[in-house]
Amino acid sequence: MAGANGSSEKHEGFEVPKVEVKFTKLFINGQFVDAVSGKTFETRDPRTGEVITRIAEGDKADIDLAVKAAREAFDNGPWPRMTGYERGRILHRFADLIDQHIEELAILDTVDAGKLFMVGKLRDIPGAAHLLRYYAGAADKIHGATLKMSQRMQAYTLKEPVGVVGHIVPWNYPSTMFFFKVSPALAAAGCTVVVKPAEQTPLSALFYAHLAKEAGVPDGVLNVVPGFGPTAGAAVASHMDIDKLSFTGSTEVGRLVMEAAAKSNLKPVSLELGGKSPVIVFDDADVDMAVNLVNFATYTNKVDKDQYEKVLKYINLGQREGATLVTGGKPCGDKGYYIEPTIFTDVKDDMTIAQDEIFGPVMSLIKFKTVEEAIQKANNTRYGLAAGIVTKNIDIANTVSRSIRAGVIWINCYFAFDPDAPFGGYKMSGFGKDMGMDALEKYLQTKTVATPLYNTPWL
Amino acid sequence: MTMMCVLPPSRPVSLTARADAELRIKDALERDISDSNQGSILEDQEYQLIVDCNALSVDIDNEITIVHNFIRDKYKLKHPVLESRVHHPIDYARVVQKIGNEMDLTLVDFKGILPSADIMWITMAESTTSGEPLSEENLAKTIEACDRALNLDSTKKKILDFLERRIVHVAPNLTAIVGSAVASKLLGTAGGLEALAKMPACNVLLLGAKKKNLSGFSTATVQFRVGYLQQTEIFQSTPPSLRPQASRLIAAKSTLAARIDSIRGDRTGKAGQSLFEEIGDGLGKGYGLLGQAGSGKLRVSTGERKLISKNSKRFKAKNYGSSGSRSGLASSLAFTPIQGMELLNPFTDASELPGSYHMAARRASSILCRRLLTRPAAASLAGDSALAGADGARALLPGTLLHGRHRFSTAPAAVTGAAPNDEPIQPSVEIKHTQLLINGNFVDAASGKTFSTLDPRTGEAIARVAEGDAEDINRAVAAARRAFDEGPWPRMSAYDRCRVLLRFADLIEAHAEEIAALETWDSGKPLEQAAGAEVPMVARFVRYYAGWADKIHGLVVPADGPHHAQVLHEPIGVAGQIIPWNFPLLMFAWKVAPALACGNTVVLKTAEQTPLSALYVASLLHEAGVPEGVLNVVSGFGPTAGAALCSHMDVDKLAFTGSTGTGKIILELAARSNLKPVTLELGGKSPFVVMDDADVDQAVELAHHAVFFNQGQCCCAGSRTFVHERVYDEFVDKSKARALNRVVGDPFRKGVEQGPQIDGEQFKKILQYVKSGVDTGATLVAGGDRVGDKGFYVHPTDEMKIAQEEIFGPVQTILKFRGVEEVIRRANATPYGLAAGVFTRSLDVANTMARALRAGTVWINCYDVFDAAIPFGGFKMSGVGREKGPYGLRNYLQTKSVVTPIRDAAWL
Repeated sequence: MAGANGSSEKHEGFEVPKVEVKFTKLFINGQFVDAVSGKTFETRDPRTGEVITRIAEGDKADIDLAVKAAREAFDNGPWPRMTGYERGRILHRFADLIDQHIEELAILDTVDAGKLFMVGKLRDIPGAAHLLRYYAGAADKIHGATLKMSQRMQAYTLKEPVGVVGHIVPWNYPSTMFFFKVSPALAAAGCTVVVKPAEQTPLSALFYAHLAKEAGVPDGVLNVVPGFGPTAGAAVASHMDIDKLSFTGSTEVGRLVMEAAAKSNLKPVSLELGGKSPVIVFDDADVDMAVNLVNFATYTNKVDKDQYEKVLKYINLGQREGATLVTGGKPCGDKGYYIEPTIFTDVKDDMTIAQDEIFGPVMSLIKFKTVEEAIQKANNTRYGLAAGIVTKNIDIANTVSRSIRAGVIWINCYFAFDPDAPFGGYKMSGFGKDMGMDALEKYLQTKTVATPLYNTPWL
Repeated sequence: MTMMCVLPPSRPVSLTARADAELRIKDALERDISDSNQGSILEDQEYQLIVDCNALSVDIDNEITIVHNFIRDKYKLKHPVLESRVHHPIDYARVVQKIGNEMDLTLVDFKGILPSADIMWITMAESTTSGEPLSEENLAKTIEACDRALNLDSTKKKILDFLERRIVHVAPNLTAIVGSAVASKLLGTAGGLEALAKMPACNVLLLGAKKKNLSGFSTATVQFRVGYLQQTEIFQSTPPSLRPQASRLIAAKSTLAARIDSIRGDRTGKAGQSLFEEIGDGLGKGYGLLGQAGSGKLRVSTGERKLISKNSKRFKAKNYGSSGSRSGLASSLAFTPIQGMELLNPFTDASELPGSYHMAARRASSILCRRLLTRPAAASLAGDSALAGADGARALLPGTLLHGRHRFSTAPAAVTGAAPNDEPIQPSVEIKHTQLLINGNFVDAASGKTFSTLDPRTGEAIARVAEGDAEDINRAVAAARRAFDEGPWPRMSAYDRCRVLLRFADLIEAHAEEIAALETWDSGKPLEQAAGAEVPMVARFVRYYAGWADKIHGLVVPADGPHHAQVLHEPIGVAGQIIPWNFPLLMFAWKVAPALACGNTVVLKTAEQTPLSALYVASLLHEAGVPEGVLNVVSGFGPTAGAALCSHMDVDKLAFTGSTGTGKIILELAARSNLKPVTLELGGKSPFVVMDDADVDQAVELAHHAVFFNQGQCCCAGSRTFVHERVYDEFVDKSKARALNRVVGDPFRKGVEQGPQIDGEQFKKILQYVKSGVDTGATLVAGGDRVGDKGFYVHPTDEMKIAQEEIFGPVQTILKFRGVEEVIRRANATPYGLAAGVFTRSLDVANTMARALRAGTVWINCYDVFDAAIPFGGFKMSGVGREKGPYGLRNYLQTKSVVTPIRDAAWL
């Protein structure tokens, strides 16, 4: 096993327990293995920029092995042939195992993605178990329908697993995103999956793979191949034997992924991409509450060096385009990748900082006069992932909810995620939903079965 | 903004007074209590101390209120909505102390302080409502105030503890009536024993009364004034209709007792005890004993304690009688003949009943409850089988059967007829629960009565079980009502409910062996069937509905105009459920699991033949963390407990599995009371059709299981076997051989396929049916008589008789037919429509029959497949509604449309 660097330091008031990284290799067909190439890459602690450990670096050859294992597990393995109840039982055990390792997993996300340890412990990791239990309970609730034919026929639909699924998950919520993707695919219909976690955050994904095996997920059903987008990611996207691709990340990469899918085997793709989500504060809103909410909606944690530099570049651009910098705008501290919470006012709709996804703690304030204007400005974006409305007026709330072209509308709240609530974008924010029963659809094929009826008393 | 920044000035409850009292209490606790004090109560130091303590605790309460107001005013700035969720001053102080100035509440651990639903609510609310940190100074003051509130509270607890321990020495007679906790509250509020003694009874009644507002799902939004006396056990156990009298009586008697105590009369508390008994008498006789309070005279009753039976009699009269007469509903329930039998008159006083009461009631109720079926248990073929294709046929049977066959075949079973005469095998299970489960506690019946539950192998008693009747149903419904209207169950997140049910399923599996043994002992079904199929299915149903809890979706519907319309599915409320004896545990799961998943509370009446397993698993559900009052289990008889549940005005929904005759009565009772919606799963006379292209061996084996499974005691038993004339003779021969090979015997013995019938009544009825079949010209080809000379065993019986009635026993009738049209017509010629089986290789015949048969389930080339997700229920007189699957949820949900105009909508 690769070197497990210890890291224990006082951070933001919390003593983050010592890290022990147990799993650093690729997880293929139920085994932890080195990359075919033997290569490794380092994963860093975003708080300090220090190397935590070295991880096996998967590329095309490893993806091929993983897909082969997943294909075999799907075509001949027990997973799709179990009852939904049996799959659900295994996933329940998986969730119980996560509950037993909450701290360990939270630490991995903390050192890997810069997540707050307590947030991980109290929200992200229990949330992952919650997602898993939700879909464990859904595994025996996938219903086809009997149909009303207009001829003397009887017909019904079967919902079948789509097959081998490729998942490419991002670094911002390593645990949550992993289970957004993996739990409906596994539970739903008995798909098998190949997951490529972000190169910044492979640690918890590998741990989850280990727990899945312990819970009884058969070999080859869940494969985890850490690696880089242009190599491993591209291999997943263009693989001829992957039946379905689900990607969460930036809009640019989403475009590449879809292109690769089109050029290979036309695999269906679902994309959860970037956003430039408006929060609309109406004049009847409780301003204090609105301020809190918008703060909550904007300032998220930060990760690696590239991203950090990109954010600083955007802040610079905003100033040059004529927006007024009210506060922040500078790096924070002299170690790690922290940026001060930043606010721009006098922002015009067409400025770059109002149009591009910055993915950093930068708030752009835009003034409006009427409801119509607010709707028009809010919709004036290529994105459509989410929107917030702050108002006490039921008519405004209802009108604006329907008018905004976005996948989620949060009224007087923000980030109100729930396993039962579908999440996914309009327009260039992507297509296909994560969470809720809707997410199952991504991993199901619909088959219609029809046969003639003779001597039937009714149709 | 105005701010109140000053801590309120210290009031008379100064720290010194408190410290002083604490010292005295401590001192008193160290002393031994001396009862030698014979002087005036006022000279008793003990009493003095109690009076002081009382005054002190009232003062402390007032001070807590003041401090609470202070904290609230301060903390509003930080967390404006906290007070709307956390009402109790002490809880509020604890929460404030915990949060302090922390802005991210996900970082605060509220465990142990608040219920999980509140924690979630507060955390959510914080992320969406504004609040600002308090200044250092204000925060310090607030936290100090919290400390003070908590301090006060702990002092108060100490004082009250002390009071309750000592009160029995000071007021033995009062305590005998109302209990020590209420006695000390009364004393405290009245201002001492002297003051209490001088108080008129009508004022005593109101001590501690507050008007209580309820919120939530019930129409009962405002509760009647509830004073201390209403907290007494005797009041709580009184049926609601008698409560006004009860509270007046209790007040009168308590005042008398207080007078005795204040003059230090009768230190033994016996006077109080007899006053207590008079309350019971008074409730029995009406108002006769009231009005004596002012006279100062004591009326001591010498009669025996008749509270319970009298209460129950009055209560019944109140509930069922229409304007005093016993006509109407009452008579229709009592004297409707069902399948040639009469139900008991429910108003017959138990004491007036002849000795045969229990047998008779069992008989009546055996009609009230019956039914249902699960996957067939595996069967072994003893000896040399004539059925070459039997193994192939078994492969068609679901799930457990394959395992079963191997297991069974290694242990040759007893030969038919031999086993029942052996000594019965002693079950290895301890009977832990025989009382009623009401509000989270196992309690005796209000009447104190019990009945025997019998071992069907011997007809001997296994245990005495508390016999619930209308009063117990009342208590149970009140508990369920409270749990629904005020309790956490419907308010917690669906995920939390889901997790309780998942834990419940795990516990069932952990105790599977005991549960199965109990089930076999009480119902006579083969242990291998109970352990191998039924108990795992119970866990499976619970998990299935646990998974539904957080996936109950209403539709957002398109409106014709500019309206936004959404549909909410809300729990329906208190569900009354009555389950039969043929599958006690499975029916428990079918009923309870969906009701609880949706957030309802439940009062379950089990069949009097099989009360044990439900009590056992209900205790496991509580171990899994279900709140008290959410599931109440009342053992008892149909005409008493069952009827009370059906006609209860506070039950919102009724679900029943049993006979068609009883189903009619139940629907009628629901109609005559509060029009509660009813789900019925009733009898059947299900056809099993064997076409000429069928594999005869497979068909014989499946048809055999379809009817003989569970001793033939299945509502969906394939009891009319229609066989095509071309294969008829072969089919009859092979069926006869199969029936003769069926292993009947002690259900605890390995390899036994068929145990005894449930009881003597069923046993006799079945044999009568067999006789009538022969008398009307059917040919008896096998069986038809008793097996052994003990218990209720019947030989598997094949005969040819066109039967219309449900026999509910191991009797197969084989009928001949020629064509598809004919068999469809004959199969449908029945008032029932529960299930049907079709055996054919022809796709077209299968499709035609599937649509043509008027039945709730059609099994094609299989039978008795009971998955959790497959809905089950009857056409025609086999029932109303469907259980299992997503359809089963509908029984326990209300549908609410919410509509609001939408202006300038982007789309409609």
